[in-house]
Amino acid sequence: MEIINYGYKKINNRDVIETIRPKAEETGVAVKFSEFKDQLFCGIDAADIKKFCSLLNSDPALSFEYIKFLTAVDYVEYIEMVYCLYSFKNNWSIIIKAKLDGQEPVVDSITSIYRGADWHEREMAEMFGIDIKGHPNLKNLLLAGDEDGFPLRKNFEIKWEEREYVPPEKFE
Amino acid sequence: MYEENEILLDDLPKDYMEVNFGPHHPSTHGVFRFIAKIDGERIIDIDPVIGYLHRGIEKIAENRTYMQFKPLVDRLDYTGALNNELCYCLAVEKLMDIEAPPRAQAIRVICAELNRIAAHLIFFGAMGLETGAFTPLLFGFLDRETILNIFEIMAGGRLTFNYITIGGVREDIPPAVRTYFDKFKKEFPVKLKRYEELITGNEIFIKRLKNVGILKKEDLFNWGASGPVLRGSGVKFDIRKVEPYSGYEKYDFDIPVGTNGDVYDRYLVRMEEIKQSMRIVAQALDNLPSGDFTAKVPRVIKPPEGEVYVRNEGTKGEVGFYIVSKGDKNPYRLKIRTPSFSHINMLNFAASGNYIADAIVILGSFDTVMGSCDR
Repeated sequence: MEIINYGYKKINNRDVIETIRPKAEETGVAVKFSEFKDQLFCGIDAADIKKFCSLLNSDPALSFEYIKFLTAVDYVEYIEMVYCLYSFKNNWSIIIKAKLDGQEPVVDSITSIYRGADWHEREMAEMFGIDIKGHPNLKNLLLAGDEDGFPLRKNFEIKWEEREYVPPEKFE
Repeated sequence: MYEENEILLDDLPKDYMEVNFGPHHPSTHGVFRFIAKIDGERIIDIDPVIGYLHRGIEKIAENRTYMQFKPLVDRLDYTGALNNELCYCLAVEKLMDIEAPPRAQAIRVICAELNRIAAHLIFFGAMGLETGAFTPLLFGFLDRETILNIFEIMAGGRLTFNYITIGGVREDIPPAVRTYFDKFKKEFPVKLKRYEELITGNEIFIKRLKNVGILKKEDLFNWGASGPVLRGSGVKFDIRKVEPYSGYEKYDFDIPVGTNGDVYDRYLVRMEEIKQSMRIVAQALDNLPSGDFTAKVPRVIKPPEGEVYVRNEGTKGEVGFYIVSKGDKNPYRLKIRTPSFSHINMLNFAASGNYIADAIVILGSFDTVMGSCDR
């Protein structure tokens, strides 16, 4: 078995931005870059998600082959999709953000590009009520399906009932 | 609820049969159910059903303060609780610009690596059980017991600790840990060698594991696999080396990598990782810095507005916390990325086409914990 030790290289987000920007302009995706605590965020239009992800995945210079996770955040007026990708080749990480409509969120599935996104998308569909277009198997994953509303939305009420203690009946 | 899973007999070609595994089956590592469509002995399709252990931890987090939520993090992956805690605390610290003092960082490394050994020993036992040997389970749990005793002196708990806190650790490391670990360090490698003679070189064991469930690295990238599963397929990737946290860059250790990408390689990678973790703990205890064991942290944890994603190398793969803060006492949104979720997602891809008995071994080689999968 091969055992390998390797060093530590600091990543400069400027390089990542300069590589992505011309390629994104070529494919017609408007990207708004921002940085926060060494992390690189790319704000894009929700309609471009599939196009942008396939660019990042297939381009040999970028090769963002690995999906860490995808999730959504409910900001009440709008819902924000968050995709976190990683490139093994360059050791680059980016977080893609896209705004969806707060009432009827619809987004394209990226399962055809990243197969690991499958269950994450199913989870988002049941937890936020997001309609994931083009997903092959959009059924409930974690929930039983008997709850009213979508649990991770901000308007979801957490209900519980207080029960009185009833001592068990004695056996004769 | 599972009406979708029910397939009418008329719809199926007559040769296929459906077999239900679980939710309470010893080979499924917890409450996990899968429906396998089989043709004779071969699996054609697997439909995993999860959610039996779903506790809504992400929603609970939105209604609790950062400190109140921390004990729940232990309950995700209960075999590697300290690794989860470390990741959560690093995420909150990154939001608040706190850095743990060097002594706290070293203690955290000791905790995380000891927990990794304990988790891999469970894997060692379970892997034996999956291939039909009961003895490794007893051996694995016996040595794990010694590590749990060390945790008991350190943190007061054996399975869920609440030991690592935001800014450091809860208590200083007691001197007795040193003596206990020295004893363990003297005895354990001898025992481990004996176990490896018993299992790793065993012909039946090798025949069951070699060339079973071969996964190519290109596929694994796409499925979001991480940790020993990825390394077993020959990817030199370890977050401890690539994005060092908690002072991992100071320690000298190697990353074991497999060549073939089969179940046996994943097993070898984990066994080698046990030895490397022993090296790290020994180094950390030898060079334990003096000073504070916790940084100065405000009494009320109120991180400023922002969002961070912090990941670390958990015992099963990449554990990550994505926290959105709006400057309140509670997190606005908290997403937990767990390796088990991604790996069980991959099960159909990895196991279909294999024999039923091999599917169990492949699931075992992912080393999943349902608590961390369902959250």
